[in-house]
Amino acid sequence: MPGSDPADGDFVDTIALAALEAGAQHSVYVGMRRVLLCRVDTDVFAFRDACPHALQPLKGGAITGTTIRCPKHGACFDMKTGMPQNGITKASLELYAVRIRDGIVQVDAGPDKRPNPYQQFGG
Amino acid sequence: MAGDELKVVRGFSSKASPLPQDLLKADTREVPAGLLATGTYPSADKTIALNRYCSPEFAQLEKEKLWKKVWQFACREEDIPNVGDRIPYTVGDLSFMIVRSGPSSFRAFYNTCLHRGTRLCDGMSSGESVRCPFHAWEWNLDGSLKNIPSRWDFPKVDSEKYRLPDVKCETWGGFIFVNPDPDAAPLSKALGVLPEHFASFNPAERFTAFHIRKKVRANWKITMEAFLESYHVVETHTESLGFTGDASTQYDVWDDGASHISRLITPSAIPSPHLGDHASVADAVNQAFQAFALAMPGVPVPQYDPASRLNGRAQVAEWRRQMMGAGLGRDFSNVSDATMIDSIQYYMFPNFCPWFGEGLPLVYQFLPHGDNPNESIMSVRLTVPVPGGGAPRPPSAPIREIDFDERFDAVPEIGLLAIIFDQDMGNLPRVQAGLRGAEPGHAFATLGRYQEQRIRHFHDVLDRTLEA
Repeated sequence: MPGSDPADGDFVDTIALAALEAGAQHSVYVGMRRVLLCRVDTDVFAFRDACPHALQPLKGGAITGTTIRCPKHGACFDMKTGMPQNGITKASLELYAVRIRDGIVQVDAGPDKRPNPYQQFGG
Repeated sequence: MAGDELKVVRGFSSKASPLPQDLLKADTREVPAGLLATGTYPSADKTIALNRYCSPEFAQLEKEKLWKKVWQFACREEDIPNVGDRIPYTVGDLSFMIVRSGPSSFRAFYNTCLHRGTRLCDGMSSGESVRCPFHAWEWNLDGSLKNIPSRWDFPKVDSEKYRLPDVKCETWGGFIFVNPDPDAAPLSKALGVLPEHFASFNPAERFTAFHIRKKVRANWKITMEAFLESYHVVETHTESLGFTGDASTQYDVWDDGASHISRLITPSAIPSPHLGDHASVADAVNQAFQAFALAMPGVPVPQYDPASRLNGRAQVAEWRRQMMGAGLGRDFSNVSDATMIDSIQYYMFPNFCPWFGEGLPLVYQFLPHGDNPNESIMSVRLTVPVPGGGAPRPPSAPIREIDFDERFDAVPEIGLLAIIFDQDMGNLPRVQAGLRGAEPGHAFATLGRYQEQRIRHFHDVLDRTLEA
């Protein structure tokens, strides 16, 4: 759940770190965003699970070092910086802050701005 | 033709993913008759010449023979809620002004001043009369001439001959249609099966919760055709395969010569047949819960309950009935599972797609953009039932314009739909660019017999319309 301290950002619990083995990828929803969690050794990276090239899922992409390759059209990105690594797109990954609290991977994908079309009338 | 027709495989199912008509048999509620109806259309297995998507001459032919001659969806009644409200309907370089001329009456006029040709209405506006912003020539809401400044300077202007020229304007289900052809048959002839099939859905009792107009670098037909089939889901929307019956989608066409209607039913909360006989139904249900929950922020996402007496689809439908019922103060208890969760899209020639049901209650409209055959506008609305319990009718959402290079992602309120539309939009300029450079001997589209039959039907009707 979002932290109670406003300075704490919008960190949201996702999965247990223990469920994300080294080398593993896991896709979760944080608000409206589908987020891909990738663990490389002891580092956990989180970014929008939509390649900025054609908005296709990055899940399942081959990882070499800290570079992930989009399984659809081959765009490569450095998961540390988000920067593109080949000429397929000039756009960067949408990276999210990650932290581990009590063994849980928490992700800050920003505030959730969606209204609820079915819940604005107080039926 | 009959032998040819026998070869058509009507959808592809798996053990985990039955065809829609089989899913309807397991519905926990009475299924609307329209959903049980099927329509077939004996179309020849022909190819589609690509030059019709990029030729200025073809676009000009469409203007004269199509847009000036057919009933076309212009706007919703709730877009112009008060007498005197008006909104433009612009299709290519034709433009009409739709006016609420009385509490429940509407009129449509050519959107051009009779003085020197100024466009009279270029956005939502309102007033007791229609006045040109240039020299203040002015008309009453019934089209009669009200005033010309310096009237003494126009001694030959006969007020009766300077009525604002109108076009036919009729309504169905809260949708306003226009037809510039003064000899056109009534709208009801063009609606075909729509009123009967939508009777249980009551589109009049809905309002526009969001409304987006997206500019696209592709011909209006290319843009529209991308939304008439679920064949593209496997490659373009791969992440939806877990909970979408893409290959099992049912396609129907009803054409009596005067009405040209088609439909697709893409079932939800079942795995794609592409995932095989052993794909997980539980995963499909959980992904469907997740997808619907994305439009309901703050609502906990349920999980598939294997011990429930309800099957997975019924569980999702029941949760939707309760959430929507509580949110809107309306009773959905008799609404079928399919109506609550499936993606059911109707099409009326030439460019209007009203979706049926609460699964994906959208309205699409596809329009040429100016006189450029390589550009179009896609209008997308989400409609929601008007709240019950005497609550006031919510206002129609303002139009959100999205430019050529902007993404739907800029509109967070549409949730999961944003990325889906953006995935589609990524394809369209590539199609337009590719078809313009096709090898002359292969400058035609090859359509699937079953899954792309609605596109073939559209071109059959378009050919007949342009040849008339």
